[in-house]
Amino acid sequence: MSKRSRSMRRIDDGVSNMKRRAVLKQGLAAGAVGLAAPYIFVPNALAQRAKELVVVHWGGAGGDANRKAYFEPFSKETGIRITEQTGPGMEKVKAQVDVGNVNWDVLVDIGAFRMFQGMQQNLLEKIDYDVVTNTKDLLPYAIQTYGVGSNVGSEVITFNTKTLGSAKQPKSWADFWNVDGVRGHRAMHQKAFGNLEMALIADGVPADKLYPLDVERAFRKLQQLKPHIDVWTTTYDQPIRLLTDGEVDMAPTWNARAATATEKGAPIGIEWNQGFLYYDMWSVPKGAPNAKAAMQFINYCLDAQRQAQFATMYPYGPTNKRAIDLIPANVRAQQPTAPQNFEKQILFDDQWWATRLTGLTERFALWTAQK
Amino acid sequence: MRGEDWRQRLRSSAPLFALLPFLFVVVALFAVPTLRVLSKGFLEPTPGLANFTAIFGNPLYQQVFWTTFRISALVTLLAIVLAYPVARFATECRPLTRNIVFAMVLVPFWTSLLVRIYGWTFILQRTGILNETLQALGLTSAPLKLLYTEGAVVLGITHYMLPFMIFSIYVALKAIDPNLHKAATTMGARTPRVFFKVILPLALPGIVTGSLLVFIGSLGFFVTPALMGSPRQMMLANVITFQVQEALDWPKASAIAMVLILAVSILAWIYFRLVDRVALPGEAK
Repeated sequence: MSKRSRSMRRIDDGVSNMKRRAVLKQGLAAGAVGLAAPYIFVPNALAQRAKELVVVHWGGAGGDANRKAYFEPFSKETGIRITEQTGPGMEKVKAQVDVGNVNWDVLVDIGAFRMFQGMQQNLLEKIDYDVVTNTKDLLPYAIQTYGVGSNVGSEVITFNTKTLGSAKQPKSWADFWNVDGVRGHRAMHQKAFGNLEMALIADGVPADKLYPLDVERAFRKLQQLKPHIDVWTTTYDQPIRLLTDGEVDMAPTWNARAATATEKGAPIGIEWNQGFLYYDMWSVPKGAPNAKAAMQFINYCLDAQRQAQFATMYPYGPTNKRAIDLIPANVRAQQPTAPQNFEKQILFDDQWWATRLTGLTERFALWTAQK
Repeated sequence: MRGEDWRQRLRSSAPLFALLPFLFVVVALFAVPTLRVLSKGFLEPTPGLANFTAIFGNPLYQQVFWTTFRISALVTLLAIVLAYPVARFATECRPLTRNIVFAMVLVPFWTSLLVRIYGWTFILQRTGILNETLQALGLTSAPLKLLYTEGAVVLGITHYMLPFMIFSIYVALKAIDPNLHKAATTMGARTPRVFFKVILPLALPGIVTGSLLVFIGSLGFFVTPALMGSPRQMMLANVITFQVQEALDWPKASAIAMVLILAVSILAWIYFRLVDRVALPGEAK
């Protein structure tokens, strides 16, 4: 009897140990699923293909300005309903085009180099210039086969006006590189696009001889500055935050972000000299359900009045030359396209970058990751 | 009779039927897309192993693999050291205190990762609280470089992963019969001996589970190394994101993800083998 009960208990023990094992295994599995959940990418396949126009913008203050200057008046005048989405990343366009389920119609304010990248990967519709006819007064660079310039921004030298007295502020890329003469902590964005240009200009290459870029010379010049870069930024709001906190004293930044922060009282100064002008674009994804209406929308946005209204709310320069005169003078002074600022700056050659972006960005990442 | 038999069978397999919708969801919405994406690593731009040779031939990726595994290992070790005392305290204190301890563990856990990273930034940066305190006390004359270092990344990830370790160890400790501790002490064992001979072996399964959860979880971190580290702390998820978003080179991204998944699978397999092999404490052999 006692022997039997002992063997029975053994069996019970065996069962309970099996359960304990199962619990350990399931605990791990459940934990792993919980951890993985945020990383699982669910494509937006369920978004409806309705009759309305789906426009995709970057959100924030720029998105608000887009809504007031373009989306709302367009809906009112044409009766076409506009659905907004945010984050017009080219990788998401690629995902939609690859699976043949495109549900976006207009990409708002994508960088011109991204447009060229999308063009190369066959992700965009050609602009139908039979519908987009409002192009007479546009800056020449704004008229492209796969996109139309929406506005002009600039990557400029910015600095903390509190920590750097007026005598010590950087006035050129050569100053930004001159770590002994212009003392202070420096941040730089972790990207090849733009940084190579800054290095070459700092090294004395004349602006009109910048392209094609001498990549090796640029990396040699960057190597000199590398030990003095305190922070390599990875998000677009980081440089402004670092400057505002006084964590760094100078950094290249996008002018609109700097201007928005200044309005809120951040002690940030902008040096327009040798800023790099870049265009943002309106583009249409390949196979957009309402491509025709998308072209109509883009044409609508090229109007000088609309662009002036947008640029008054958000300090990017309009692509319509006539719009510039319609903007109040004090606002215009904050814009890269204001004549006094425009002439000091240098235009990015996005086309040069389009074929080289991937390779050079990877090389840049490799270079920053090395000691 | 036969009908009843059939009904009986149906009833016993009912749970399986109930699982079918979930199985469908997992296969259709997770397994198929995942395999589709991963297959790109082998199939594009040309079928073969070109993406893999490109990754392993590139010193950047070698460095990133090594950095990822080193940081994850450091996080796991730090998490064990920090989690054990908390778990031990939670098993021994009164229920009310325990609930307070758990709340203190969980509330930060439920806070947005970004918010926590900014919190750490304000503490660790050059003009941050820690540096200013150290300087005010005269302990340092110039600010120390605390942020944008490997230490900062390890700290940031550990802060996020700690609850997984605490609860894994807590569950294991809670299952230990408190009489064992008393018995060992009564038999003349001193505290270290009780710890190493009695408590630690019994807590080991919890530590192993926690370590694997923390280690595997740490391998996939992206935001923390990007915001608290420098480019030298670039981890696998950062280069995958780079390939997906910036380079639009999805085949290469798939290949990197494949290597990561393979590494995680091997670890999980080793773990399951260990759980099967190792006798659980108190188990009849």
